[in-house]
Amino acid sequence: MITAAELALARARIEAAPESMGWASMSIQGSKGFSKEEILQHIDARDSIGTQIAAIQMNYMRYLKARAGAYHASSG
Amino acid sequence: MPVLDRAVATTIKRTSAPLATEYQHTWVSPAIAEAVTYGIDVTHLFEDDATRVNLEAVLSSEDPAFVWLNDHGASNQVRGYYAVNILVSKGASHYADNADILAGRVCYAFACSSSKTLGPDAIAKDCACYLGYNEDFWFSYNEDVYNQYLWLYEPIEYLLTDTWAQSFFNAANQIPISLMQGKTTGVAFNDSQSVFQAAIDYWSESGAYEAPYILANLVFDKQHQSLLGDEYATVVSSPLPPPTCPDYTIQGDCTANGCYWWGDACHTIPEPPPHEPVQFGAGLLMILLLCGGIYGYMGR
Repeated sequence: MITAAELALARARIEAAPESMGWASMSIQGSKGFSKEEILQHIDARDSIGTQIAAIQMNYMRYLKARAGAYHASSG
Repeated sequence: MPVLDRAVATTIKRTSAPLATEYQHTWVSPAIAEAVTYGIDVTHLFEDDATRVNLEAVLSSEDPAFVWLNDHGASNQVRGYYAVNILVSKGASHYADNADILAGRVCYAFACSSSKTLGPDAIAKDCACYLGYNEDFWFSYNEDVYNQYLWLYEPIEYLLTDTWAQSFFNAANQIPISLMQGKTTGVAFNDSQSVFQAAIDYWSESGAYEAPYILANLVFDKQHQSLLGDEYATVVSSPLPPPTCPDYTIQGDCTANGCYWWGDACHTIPEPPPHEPVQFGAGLLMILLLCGGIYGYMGR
């Protein structure tokens, strides 16, 4: 379950994406490809595509945080 | 017993919403064409040939050991031409379950989410190994490249110039390429994970404006790639021997397999301790003096 704060954070990240950035998936619902504007609309609508893209952004931020933690741990 | 060195692959170019399948077809077809270089006989069911009836007919008549499906998917289905299901497990609407057609075979489903339900169901019905993804497979693409293809009538191969999409398809294609090279399912899976990681490292260090968005999808796809069943299965009659330490070219693979990484290469033994500096000075001086003496003597 993604929170409103996470959705807002993910939205801000997507807003900063290059204009020509496209998202597509091999899912039966994501097949046509989505522009940045369309992804923002899905996030605003909080539908399955919007929440999934937001969750992927949050997953990446957690990955970065874990990697940074591992780096600091290894560098003492 | 399914026939080794034989495979069936599906790709779709145009569906009701084609972008993803156009990219997939364009990037996967060269990998399918590579099969001949590995001595694999592939039946490529393309476009309107990629139907459930044709897939089942090929599996029945040619009995290939390797089934390589490329199209859209969901937890309990992989689709074929015009969004009609080609492979389904229990609960996929009104379609009859046909996961048993994978019995004894290795299957790679380059499609979303089918490792959630369809994969375990196929394994329960004696599929040797099911490789795929247990969440949606998202990829990034450059709309400028796609629009150039779509509106300026560039050939579909123009999509191969999309460097944003490239990382995703290279990683996804590595599983079948490694399998056709004679590697086991487990090694093929690890090879693909390594290609994902190499792409993640590349984009992490690139500093490119688009990098964070590509990275988010790459990390997600790598995390959700899955292998179910036998990790020692092969699809060729002359499988490669297991890799030895010098075969690993990536540090992580090297150390993960109990080898030692030093000198930019993978070794079976740990790095030797540094040698004590050799005291050449006095000996070398003596030799030079001796040579000089001989030279001087002969010069008289």
